[in-house]
Amino acid sequence: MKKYLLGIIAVIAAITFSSFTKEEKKPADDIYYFYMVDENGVIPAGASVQFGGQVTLGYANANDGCTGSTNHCLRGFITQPSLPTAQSGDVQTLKN
Amino acid sequence: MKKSTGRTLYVEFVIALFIFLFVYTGINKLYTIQEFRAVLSKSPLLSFTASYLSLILPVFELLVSLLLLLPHTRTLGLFLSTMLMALFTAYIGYMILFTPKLPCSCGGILKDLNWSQHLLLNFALLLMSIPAWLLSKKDKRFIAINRNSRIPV
Repeated sequence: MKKYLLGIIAVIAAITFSSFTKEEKKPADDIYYFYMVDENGVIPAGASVQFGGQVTLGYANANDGCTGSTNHCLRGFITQPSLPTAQSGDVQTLKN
Repeated sequence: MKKSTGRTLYVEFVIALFIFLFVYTGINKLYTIQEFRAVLSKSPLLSFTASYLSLILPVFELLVSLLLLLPHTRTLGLFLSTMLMALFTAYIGYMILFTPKLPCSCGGILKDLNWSQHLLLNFALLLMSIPAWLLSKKDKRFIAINRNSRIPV
């Protein structure tokens, strides 16, 4: 029984620990197609998807290169929209 | 403390650590299997096998934990743990190099680590598992020699 003791403690600890781990749905875990909006908040026709494809909101926020105002800078969509669109999208990065 | 006792303690510690790690991440992956499958399907390397891998990987992790738990299969368990850690480390290395913008498909709190932190953790675990496996193999041989010596002539 002594041979199993440390292993059994590890199993119990792992099960206990995983039952206390809350799985929160975080927006940063999802990935989106991001498009740059114009001054009117509209995604222009022919706009190309930023970052070359789907990225997380966290990555887009860190790399959007937008500064100076609280307007939306990039809008993220779970599926690729038909352009142009003034829709608010699924997520946004801000210019502030 | 004798050298052999220290080695045994080290092997026992690594075994307990890997049992904890694989049971924890295996349960978490199974618990959030839909999400795990969705993230795998976005991976450029694993998307083609996401639906199978999302089930096989956590089950395999739990199986390795069982092998580590049973004294007679510990060496095999340590070998498979080392192989798994090597594969995970190589996969993370690939993700860092080619697709750092994608989220991690890890289980539980490991999901909160970024790719570099995850690579560091996996590399440390890999470095710990190799000597534990080698020491475990050595201990097995030592026991076998002793047993042979007790065979009556």
